[in-house]
Amino acid sequence: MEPKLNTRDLCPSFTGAALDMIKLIIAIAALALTAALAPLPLAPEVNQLQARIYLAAFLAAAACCAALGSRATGRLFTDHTATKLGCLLAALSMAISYYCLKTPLPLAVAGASICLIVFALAAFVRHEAKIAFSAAVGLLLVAACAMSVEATLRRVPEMTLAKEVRQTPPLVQPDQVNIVYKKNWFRGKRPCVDCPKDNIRIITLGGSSTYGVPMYYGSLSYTQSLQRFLDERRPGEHYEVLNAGVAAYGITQVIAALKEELLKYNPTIVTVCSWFNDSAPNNRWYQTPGISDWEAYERHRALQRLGEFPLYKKVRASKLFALSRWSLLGLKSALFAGSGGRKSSAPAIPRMNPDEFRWGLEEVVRLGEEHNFLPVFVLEAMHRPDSLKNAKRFNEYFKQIYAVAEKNDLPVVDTISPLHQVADLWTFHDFIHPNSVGHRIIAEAMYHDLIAEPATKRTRKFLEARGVDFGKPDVRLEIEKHLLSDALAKDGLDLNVRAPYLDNSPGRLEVTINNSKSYSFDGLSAEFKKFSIPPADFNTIRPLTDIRASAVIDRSNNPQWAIGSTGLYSPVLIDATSGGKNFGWRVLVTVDGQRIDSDGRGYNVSVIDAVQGDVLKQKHFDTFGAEANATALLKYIEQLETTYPARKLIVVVAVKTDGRHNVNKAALGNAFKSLGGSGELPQAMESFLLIGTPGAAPGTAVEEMGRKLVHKIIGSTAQEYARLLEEK
Amino acid sequence: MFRFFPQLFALACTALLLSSSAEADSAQSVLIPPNKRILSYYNKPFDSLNRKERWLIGVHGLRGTPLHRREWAVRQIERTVNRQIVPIRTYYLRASENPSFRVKEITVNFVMKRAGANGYDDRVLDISFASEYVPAVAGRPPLVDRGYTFRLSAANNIASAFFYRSDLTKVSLLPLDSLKLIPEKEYTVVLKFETDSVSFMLNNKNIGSYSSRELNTGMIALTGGWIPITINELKISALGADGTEAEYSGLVPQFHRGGT
Repeated sequence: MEPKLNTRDLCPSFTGAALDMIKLIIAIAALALTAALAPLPLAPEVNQLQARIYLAAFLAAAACCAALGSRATGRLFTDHTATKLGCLLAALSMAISYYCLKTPLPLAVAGASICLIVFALAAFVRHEAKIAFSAAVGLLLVAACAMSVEATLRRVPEMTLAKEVRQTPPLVQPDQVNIVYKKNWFRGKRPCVDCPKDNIRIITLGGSSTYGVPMYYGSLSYTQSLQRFLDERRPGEHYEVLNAGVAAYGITQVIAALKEELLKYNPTIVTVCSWFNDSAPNNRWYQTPGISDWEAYERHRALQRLGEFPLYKKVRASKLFALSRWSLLGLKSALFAGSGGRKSSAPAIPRMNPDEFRWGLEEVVRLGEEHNFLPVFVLEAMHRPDSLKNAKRFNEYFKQIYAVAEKNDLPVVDTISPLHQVADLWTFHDFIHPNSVGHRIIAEAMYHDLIAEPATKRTRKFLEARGVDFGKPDVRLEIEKHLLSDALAKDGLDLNVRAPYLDNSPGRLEVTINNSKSYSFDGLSAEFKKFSIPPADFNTIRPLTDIRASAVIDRSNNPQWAIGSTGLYSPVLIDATSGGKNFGWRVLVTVDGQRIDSDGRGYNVSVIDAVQGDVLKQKHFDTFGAEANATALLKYIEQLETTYPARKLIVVVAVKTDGRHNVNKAALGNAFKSLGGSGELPQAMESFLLIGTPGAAPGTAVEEMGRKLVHKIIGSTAQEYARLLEEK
Repeated sequence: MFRFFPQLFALACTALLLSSSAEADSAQSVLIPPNKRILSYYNKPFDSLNRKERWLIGVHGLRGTPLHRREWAVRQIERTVNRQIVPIRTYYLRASENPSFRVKEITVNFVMKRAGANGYDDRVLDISFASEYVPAVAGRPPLVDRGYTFRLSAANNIASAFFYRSDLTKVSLLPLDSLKLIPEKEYTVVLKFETDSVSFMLNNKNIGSYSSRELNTGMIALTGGWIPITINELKISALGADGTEAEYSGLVPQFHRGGT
């Protein structure tokens, strides 16, 4: 009997093929749906529909290749040939993908290579059991696939990709610790380049209180105030005070700033004014709640080091990594949408608790020993502080500061007591940031504890070794008092003063009362002398009388102090430098050693009282920047005599960068003539210096210009400190 | 004539530019001139202001009470930048900078808020008069910074007082330690000036008086602490150079309507 034809026997090949076809169609449909609905890493302006069509076509092609690879290779992969074929496929795939990666091929060709590799991968998966070293072969195929995808992504026009896929952000953002130095450098004063040999460099470190938040002018911070005090009161010694404060700095950032940036400036003294930011809860600096600043810093550095590892950098720079990152982040936000992001359940702990803070202070001390600088701790006060006794009792951070300072014989600058004494006055902008008055008080405290009466033996010894002479007279440019009017009206006023650095030139003591009435006493000399104002002269209407005493030195007929041939003599040492753009590119005007210019581009004009030597005004006009400034300069010079009527003036005009551009040459020349100049102006980018007086005959002033750095001195540097007064 | 054209042109430009410059350097004034752009915000309806514009209005004044920039100003030396901090600053009545300004009466109706949960207590209102200020060259302390201050305090660690201050030295003139304000309570303080005397009234009760010459001249100033003060009425009556009476306020009405 013939076997009955069973349609079922015929069916398997048709059924199998039909089933395969149906599976393929379903797979293609699913992929097409994915292409239609899935979010794409494309820039918003790209035609989304077109992109999706291309993607759907690509995915369909890849699906077909996968199906072919899986189904159509059965006869090739036998037990004997499978391993060889597998290895061949892997090698070919690697070669193709490497070629695509390195060669600038069109996008379609790169996409086609993916399909080929998908074909090989599908074949491998189907016949994996027969292939020896299947793990290695599989890895190679996966790597080849990844390389092909990378190559394809690189061929996609850059601007069609979403921003996040174009470039992956770094693993961690650079630590902001030293960014201020790279961006803004120190606040205000820059480190000196040609420093004097005995220069004492003081770097002040701390948070926003040190920086001077929220003040517009850095010159009002305690750093700059201390610089002024040192310049004025320590003749012959050279100090440089640099403001390295950064808002939100705590002790961790102070240490990091020292290690990473500041030690290269070889500071002599480093002052640290910190505790408030360290006590703040939650790590605002590194955005890592629940751990201390130092731990966060160490983690940050570890991640930074990982980010700099070459292989890691290469992977992170790849488009495939960017795409994966973009996808995962999208998935994360989709899963956690509406939950307001992952809220930290970490407890609110201070950035550095008192023990960690102490460790930080000791680290500063250790750095000081290693790099030969003196650490100085400055107490950071709050608005209207309580007494120092109570502050030490209740503030755990102060306790640590004093403990570390005592152990190492280091000074602690007490800012609390002087601020407490004036706690009912306005010395702060808010609960923690001092205003200009508060900063001045802090600077006085620092001057007192470092120089006037060094707080510790170690401080004294350290500074003496660096040339600080503690036997110098305690001098001031001006003696200032605010006294009870009733007492003055009863007893009058005796001032026992001397000008210890004055030579034989005749000197006078000028005493001004309430900024209006003035007394002039002859006989000021380098020896102490009593100057008396009788009680009858203090009939003032206000409860307090303001007294200001300053020295006036008569330099008339002394050629060294002559202002050219104007007939005027300067009572003060004037040292002026002008540098055009290619000739020094700077300006510096000092009076008795104190810098008075604004260091601005264009014309720097300083007006000095020719009798007393007081600096009345300093202003700069950026004539290079705007014509309006040139016009303002003209008007300023023309109005000098009316602005300061009945006063003899010395006017110092010094150019930085350029004094030619935008100016009305004839008018400005005439204006300078009225000061005693020749009427000539500098050429473009040239230096220019004029020291004259309103009303002087043309050509009589001190004037120099040209293609060189110009420097003039009126007076004798030996008498730079002649006006400083000491009171007994 | 053409010979002088450049000079005339330059002078005309200078006049034009300096008159329109918001940051013109006035040789006479120690108060920062108002910024024209920000001034224009005060004329807009409150609801039309964006967040930054409201902040710029709100930040100029005592905490809790903005003061109009056209009427009140800070000194050059106290200029601050926006650091998301509303700083404590003293505000001076611009008109009182004129040497011929003669104040007759100052009336302030206000309420002090409670101290915050963190315990920081700075509930103080200072009304200063006969103030003088002469700046020194940049960065140096002023040559003159003095005046009388009448202080009302609700703070635990600061007493009410009437004193005269010059720089950081002060002398008490009237004992007011026992005068302690209550937060959230409304007060009206009136300072009445004659040429040689001033009297202080608080909620119609006479607090005290003081006699001295020329108390009604000089700058008028207001200073408040960190804890907000709401001022509901602010009135300063004064005589100008020509003898005419003028009234000044400087409260910003739209902020009382809607708040910041």
